[in-house]
Amino acid sequence: MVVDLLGMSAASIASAVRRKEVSPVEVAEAFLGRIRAFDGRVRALLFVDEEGVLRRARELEARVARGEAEGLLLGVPVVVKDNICTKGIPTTCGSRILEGWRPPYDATVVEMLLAEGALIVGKANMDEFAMGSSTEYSAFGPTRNPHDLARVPGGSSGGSAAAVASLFCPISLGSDTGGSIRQPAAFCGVYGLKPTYGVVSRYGLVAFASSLDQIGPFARFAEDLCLAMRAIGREDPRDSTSIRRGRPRFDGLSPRPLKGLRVGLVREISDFRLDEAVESALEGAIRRLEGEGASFVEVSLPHLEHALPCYYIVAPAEASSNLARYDGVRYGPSADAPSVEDLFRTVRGRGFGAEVKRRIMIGTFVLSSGYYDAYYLTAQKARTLVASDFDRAFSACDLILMPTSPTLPFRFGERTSDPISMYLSDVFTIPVNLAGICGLSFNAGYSGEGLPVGLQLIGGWGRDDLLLEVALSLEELFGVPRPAPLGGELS
Amino acid sequence: MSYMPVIGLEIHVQLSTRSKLFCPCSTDYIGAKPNTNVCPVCLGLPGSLPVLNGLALRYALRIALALRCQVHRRTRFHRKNYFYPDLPKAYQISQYDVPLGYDGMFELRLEDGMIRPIRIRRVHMEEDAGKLVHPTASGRIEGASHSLVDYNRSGVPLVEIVTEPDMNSPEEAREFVSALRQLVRFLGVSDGDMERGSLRVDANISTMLPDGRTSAKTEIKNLNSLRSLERALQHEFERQVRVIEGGGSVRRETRHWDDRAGRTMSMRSKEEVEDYRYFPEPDLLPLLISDDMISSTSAEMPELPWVLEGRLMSSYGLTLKEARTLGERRETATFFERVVAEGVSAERAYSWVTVELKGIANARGLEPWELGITPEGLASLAKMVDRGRISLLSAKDVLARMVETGRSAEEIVSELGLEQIGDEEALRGVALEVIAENQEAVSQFLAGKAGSLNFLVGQVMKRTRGKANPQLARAILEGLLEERRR
Amino acid sequence: MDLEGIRHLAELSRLSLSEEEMEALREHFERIMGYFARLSTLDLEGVEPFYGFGEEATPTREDEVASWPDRDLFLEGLPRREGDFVRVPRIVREV
Repeated sequence: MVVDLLGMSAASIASAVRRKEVSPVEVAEAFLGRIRAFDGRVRALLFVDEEGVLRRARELEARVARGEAEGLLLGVPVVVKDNICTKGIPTTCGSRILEGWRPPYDATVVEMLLAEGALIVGKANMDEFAMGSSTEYSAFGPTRNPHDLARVPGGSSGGSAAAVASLFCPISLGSDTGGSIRQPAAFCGVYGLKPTYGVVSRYGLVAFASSLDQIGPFARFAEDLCLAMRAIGREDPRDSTSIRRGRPRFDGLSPRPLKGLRVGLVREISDFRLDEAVESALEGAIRRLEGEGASFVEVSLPHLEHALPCYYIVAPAEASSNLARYDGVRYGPSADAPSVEDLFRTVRGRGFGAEVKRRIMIGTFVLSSGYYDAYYLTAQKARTLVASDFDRAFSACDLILMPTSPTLPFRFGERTSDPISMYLSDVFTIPVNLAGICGLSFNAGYSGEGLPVGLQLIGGWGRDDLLLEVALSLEELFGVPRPAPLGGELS
Repeated sequence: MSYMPVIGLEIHVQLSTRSKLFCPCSTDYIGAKPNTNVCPVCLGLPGSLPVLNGLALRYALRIALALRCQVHRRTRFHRKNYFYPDLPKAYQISQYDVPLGYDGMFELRLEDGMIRPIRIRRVHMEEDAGKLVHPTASGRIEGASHSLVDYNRSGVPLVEIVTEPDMNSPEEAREFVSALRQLVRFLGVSDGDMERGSLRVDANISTMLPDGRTSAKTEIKNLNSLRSLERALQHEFERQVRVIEGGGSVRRETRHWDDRAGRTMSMRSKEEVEDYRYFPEPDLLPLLISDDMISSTSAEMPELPWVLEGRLMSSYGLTLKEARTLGERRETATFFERVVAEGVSAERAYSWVTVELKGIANARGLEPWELGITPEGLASLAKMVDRGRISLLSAKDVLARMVETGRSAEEIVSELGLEQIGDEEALRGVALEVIAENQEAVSQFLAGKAGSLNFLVGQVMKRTRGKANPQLARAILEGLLEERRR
Repeated sequence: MDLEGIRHLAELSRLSLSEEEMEALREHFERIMGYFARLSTLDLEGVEPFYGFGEEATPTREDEVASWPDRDLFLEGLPRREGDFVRVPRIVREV
């Protein structure tokens, strides 16, 4: 029962609740118990809404008893990244500048989850304002990789990935701007999907880089990714960038036969040094897929090496503008100051961490008078080239297979003294955001020390459904990723 | 030959849409309780996103087309980044390198009938900021220990119109703003009210020296009326001339107009130029202006002021001045035309509308068409006078009562028994009495003083309590007096 | 990038930074500029900047008024408040 519940997929939990085989209250208590037992170690969550969850679970229970309750995620516990607005529940974005802030409104995706009967059990830890690749930049302390507590879970959605890996919930939501869903998914050994830009509403997602941000799901079962996308992958009139035409469909997805699937392998990967475990995972995956009848073709992304500098101009530029509103006037902690100008400087000087300040400064610089053309405009042109590389590649293949991250999860402190080394973790994920296409990380095995290794599937614009259907098939090959042992001491 | 002012204007027109530019909050902020017409979007709360008001776009396009601008078919919004407490996102969504309209032209019709072409550099859309309230005696920022912010106005749609520096006198600038105000009202896109802030003007002025060089320009802010605009420009021009003649050079800066003191004061040096770091707004997609949109906007364009004025002159034989007066507001002209359509002469209708009706309206702080009098109602009153049923004097009184009570002219005339005495027999009797009692005036008239007749007519009017038909009374008196003469 | 430039950017971003922070940022800038230099090797002749995915126009909404029911929650969360106004300390530089 309790143990079973923790290991079940969201789809199974929802149908068990619908069939009155289990009560939403039992479900809530099981997962809250798990969180209580283990989050002290993992620190995936910044806020757990115990009271609210139980209250809502009791409401759902009453409605189910009356035969009234419907919902794709009925009674399913979900964790949501702390940069997604939850009304009345603290939403800090991992930053002191929003410490204690309770938004007066729910993000669209939260409304959608609630409409489908989900229980929002908590808010997940993250790198401050989604800027980072290890969750070490959270102002409230890092999250630990549940597979090895001495290592990072990845970032910036480290908390969301760790939560699923730790069985705190079967589904969680994160956000991905340069790899912030896919990379932690790989590090924590779970699925993570960055949908095509515009498929999921950004209304209520605290903006980092508006033209790159997307909300997406983590899960341990591919069918749960599909379920989550059915709930949140809908048009939203409150988000002007929410796409209206060519939307992928998320209902009725089934495993896609791998025979005849044309898989692209990127030539330029060989320019980068990969951890051995990543190399062998990739080779292993290729062999397995070949065995199932998939065919491989070499594709070229000649501008892969330009994607990182391009991203580190565009994203900070947008961020510097998006983060200008945090000034202690309308929300969040404030400060005493003799003038409003001083108030701005003080609140922002104290409230933002070092990485956020770095990016704001870079962003301000590349947009500033005299430098806009050389930096921002140039980067936006380079971005067009990155996007057209993918266009060309997809004329030769159905999807691309490549590593999610060049390395295994690294240890705490390994990269924080050299910010640029941190950036390199996202070299394979960033190009996908720049092009606005979809990317999915799946668990492709474990290293000798038991660390998860993820690989990435990349699909053309709007082909999220293809990625999910291939993931469903791959799960038959690779199996469901195992939950983290959560016993490992510091190694 | 001497110095000449070179003036350009930057006008912000607040659109009269019901909701804001990027969110469905009400734009009705005058008199509203602070921070009531607000939502996550116009408060710039973390996670909020803008969605464009389609009507605001059409209104902006109307302005651009009326100003004969070229239209950028593929345009977009930009972010203008700066920090200020009334700007909740710390950026304003505006337009930068591809404004909706550009390279337009406005033919300014001056009072003397001359036409001055004023080039329009650009027309673009942007959102308004909130309002700051400074708790000082003057309401000005100087000396305020703190300030208060009301975001009701944040996000209200604005259209910014920038002219080339084609105006060469404060009067011209004033005429331009007056004409622009008329235009936006005609287009139905704005109330165009400077005092209430739905039309805001900043002026740029430099001085051209006799040798053809031009000084630096200063920007003048806080111009809350046409009169302030003209006075401020005149003052600033004189100040610039003094500076130049004193051997100095005009500094490029922003100056604040103090209406009470009657002078401009330096606000800040333009050297501290803010770097707005414009970049395209990523939360909005491009605006694509289709052929359809342009043609339907053109089609729904109401008759423009100068076209109306021309038509009033040619169809009704009015003078330019008269056409201008009627054409100041489209509703006035429409009212006038409907009165004429009921069978009243243009000349009389003009007088009734612009003198009598307007007089009553002004006393009540309203417009002539807001008094509850229909053109048909006014016309029936006018026709009564034309036909001699009541005197003009009585009619003015009747009109006042029509406004007060909402009743028709017919009802009021019969109730008060104001029908003129058009009965010759009766009038003749009164005239004889008047002649008998006013021998002095009679003698004076017979001696050649024509004005005495007016006196006698007045006496007849007095005796009949204004009800005599004055023309008839005059004719009868004249006849009787001529008899006396013989 | 020198310290003066860093100071200017810090002011433009309204960030109060310590001397150490400024020096660290100056170093970071130096390194990352080298990184950005990779883009200058690209031939960008005739390449359009990336302004969105596809040819769609921005969606528009009807001019309808809707009132936000949680405006009180916003006011309750204000760090400084005076009645229904948001209060701010003295504004030194008027815009």
